[in-house]
Amino acid sequence: METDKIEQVDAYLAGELQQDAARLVEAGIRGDQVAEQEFVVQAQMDAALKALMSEDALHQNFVQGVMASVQAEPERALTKSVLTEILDERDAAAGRHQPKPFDWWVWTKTAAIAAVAAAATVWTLQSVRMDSGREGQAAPQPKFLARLSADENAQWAENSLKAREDGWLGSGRLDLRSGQAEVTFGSGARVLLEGPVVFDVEQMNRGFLKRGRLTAEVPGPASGFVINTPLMNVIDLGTRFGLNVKHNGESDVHVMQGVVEVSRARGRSVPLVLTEGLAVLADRRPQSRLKPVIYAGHDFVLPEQEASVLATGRFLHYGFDESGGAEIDDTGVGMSGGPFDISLLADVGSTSDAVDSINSSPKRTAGAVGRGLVFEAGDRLQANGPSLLAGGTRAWSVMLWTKVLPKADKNGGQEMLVWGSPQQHWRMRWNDEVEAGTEGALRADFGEGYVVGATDLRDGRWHHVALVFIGEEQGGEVTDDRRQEAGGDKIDVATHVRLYVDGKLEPLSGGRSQVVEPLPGADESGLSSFSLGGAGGFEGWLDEFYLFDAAASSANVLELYKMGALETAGAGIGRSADGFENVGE
Amino acid sequence: MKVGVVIEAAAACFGRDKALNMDMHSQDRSDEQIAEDELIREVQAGNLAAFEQLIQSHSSRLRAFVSMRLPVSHLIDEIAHEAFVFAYRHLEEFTPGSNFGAWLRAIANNLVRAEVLRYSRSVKNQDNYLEHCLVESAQGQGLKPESALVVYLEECLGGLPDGQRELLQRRYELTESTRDMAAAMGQSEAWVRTTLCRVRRALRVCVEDRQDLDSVGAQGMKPVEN
Repeated sequence: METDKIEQVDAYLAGELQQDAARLVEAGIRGDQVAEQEFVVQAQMDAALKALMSEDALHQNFVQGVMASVQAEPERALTKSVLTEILDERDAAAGRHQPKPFDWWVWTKTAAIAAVAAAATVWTLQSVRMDSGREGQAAPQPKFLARLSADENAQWAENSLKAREDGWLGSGRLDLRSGQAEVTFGSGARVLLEGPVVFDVEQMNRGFLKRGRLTAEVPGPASGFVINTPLMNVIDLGTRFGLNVKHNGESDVHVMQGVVEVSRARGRSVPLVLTEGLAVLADRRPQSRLKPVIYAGHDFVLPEQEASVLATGRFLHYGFDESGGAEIDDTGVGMSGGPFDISLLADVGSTSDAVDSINSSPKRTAGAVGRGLVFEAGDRLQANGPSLLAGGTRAWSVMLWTKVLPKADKNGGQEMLVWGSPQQHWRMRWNDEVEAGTEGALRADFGEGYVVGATDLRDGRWHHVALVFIGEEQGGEVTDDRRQEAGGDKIDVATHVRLYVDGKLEPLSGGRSQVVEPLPGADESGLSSFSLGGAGGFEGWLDEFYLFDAAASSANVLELYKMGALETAGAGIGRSADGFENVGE
Repeated sequence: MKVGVVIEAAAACFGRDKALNMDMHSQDRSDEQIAEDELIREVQAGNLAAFEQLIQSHSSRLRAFVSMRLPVSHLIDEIAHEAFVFAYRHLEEFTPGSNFGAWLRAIANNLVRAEVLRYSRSVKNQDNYLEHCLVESAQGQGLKPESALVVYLEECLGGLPDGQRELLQRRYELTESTRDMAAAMGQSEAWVRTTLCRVRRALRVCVEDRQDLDSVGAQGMKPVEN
């Protein structure tokens, strides 16, 4: 192998080449079998020497990361079972805060369901973490629990719950007289309602079928989805099932795929675990058991693939896959199909010194997908973007991969992303205030308001994190009356922001109300600055940053988590022509 | 390669004394093995802190092992991490007295194979050609995962001349830039780069020779990698 090629291989492995030079090295090696073999040998030995000889701090970080994972295993936060939560809720609603007299059957049933739920690591959404030490703290209740994702010839009763023009639904009763309607819950679970049907949207992962028919399709992360009927509780463990409730309340469930746990809502019935091809009926006799009935799953209509709200959207993307250089290119999709061409640059304040620029730039390192960035205190990347970056009161979604060290503390900086003006801005970070919610969990701030998730991110591993902001109503003619019908027009950070970690909707451990106002300079043509590494600094890793100008569905977030990154032509990862490729869950 | 040549090569790499006294290595390790067995029993009894000591003992070598199998930077720590977590979950199945390091490597090797399979199924990964080469190499490389590769590498490192060892320390321990290294050593950047490549190549040859030496079954020469 020629000497100059050897030199270039070393420079490549040391990460000392600019992007163009790195591409030249790749091109020079490609097709040259001897060079390829030498490159492999050099890379193997280089990586092995790094592992053996690297500084103690890196070694300790690795050890702490493994320990954080291991420690989380046996002590994984136990959540209350769905049934316990329902009982608590009903007690609270009835003003019964005192413990009830011991009811052997209720508690046996509760314990049984809790055990199955825990064994299946069912993370019940909207549940209260029992290990938080803050059980009495009120977490904010999201305003929008589900979305009317499709309908066909739907005729709604006059008093039916009204969806916004863009489909978002709060809690309430849907009364579908005829036709079909599909509701996608915040957790990602979808139900197809066949009129006539009366169905209550109760929680992000729970509904009540008073009468009529529905088919439910539940992706893995929404496992634990619950449908109650007057006589039956159905807990889905990641599957597809049909449910039918007669006018007298008698309910039969048919499992088309996966596993469902069924119990009677009242009386003394032992919970049953139903698998594919089984069906049971709960009749009106409270002492009777669930009765097997003839399976009729084929009679239920299946929900169609969910249409992606991001399919035609614009987005910014930074993959950080450049080999070097102080500028990071946007490879997203802008106004005319190409990128916005908004490059990220090191924030050096008022100076334009190249040395300052390099010193305040985060270093390139191994990322969650290809290369990423590692931020140390003072590292910051900044850009000015169009109005979609500022958000205002319109919907947006931010997603990125991050890794935070197990021993990270607030002195090191927690702000992954800040955007807006100095007076009023959004912040995406991990929570450092114990009194605000779970420490180390994903947090979104706007002004004085915030929401905090429940998963501690500080374990030294890559996590996909997403903020989804359900902004003001979009589409059609949005009148004041329409706003009032759809639940008022106050857009609040505590009720309009969803947090996701590793493709799953996060239960909220804390939050504070704050009405979201348009940011200064956030009009359609204006610019607003944003900064990776935030104002308060960030210590950790970031990769594959996306900002969409739409509220992503749970399916969208899950898909991007699974893919790692969208396939964007500009980033060399290849992007499908119609944007976000939606895959059924 | 002839056995005599192999012994000479090994001696050249890590010193004749070490080459001829490797059978002492396994004796030295017996105390470590006893201590490690005790740690494993403690973890099995529920003492999580003992597992941290096991990670401390094995993490560098396991990561180095994964590096030699699949030198894709963003996968090395992930796979090593997964291997430790898997080992913790299945520690009840491990019998104290067996070789814990070898067990970890077997787990990591399976994870590497799974990762290679997953990677090759994803068409988008073909776009990064050099990374693709590295993954391909994990499927049919000359290094044998069942060999004590990392022990060989450590021994080979120990046999390097001082100047070459300093070069490696500056690059890997002190993470100096090539420019700083050249200035500190009074050489050109080109010299630093080419010398580093040659040292890495020599280490590789040394490791392969040790591997071959083992495969011909030289008595008393086989180190036990912990």
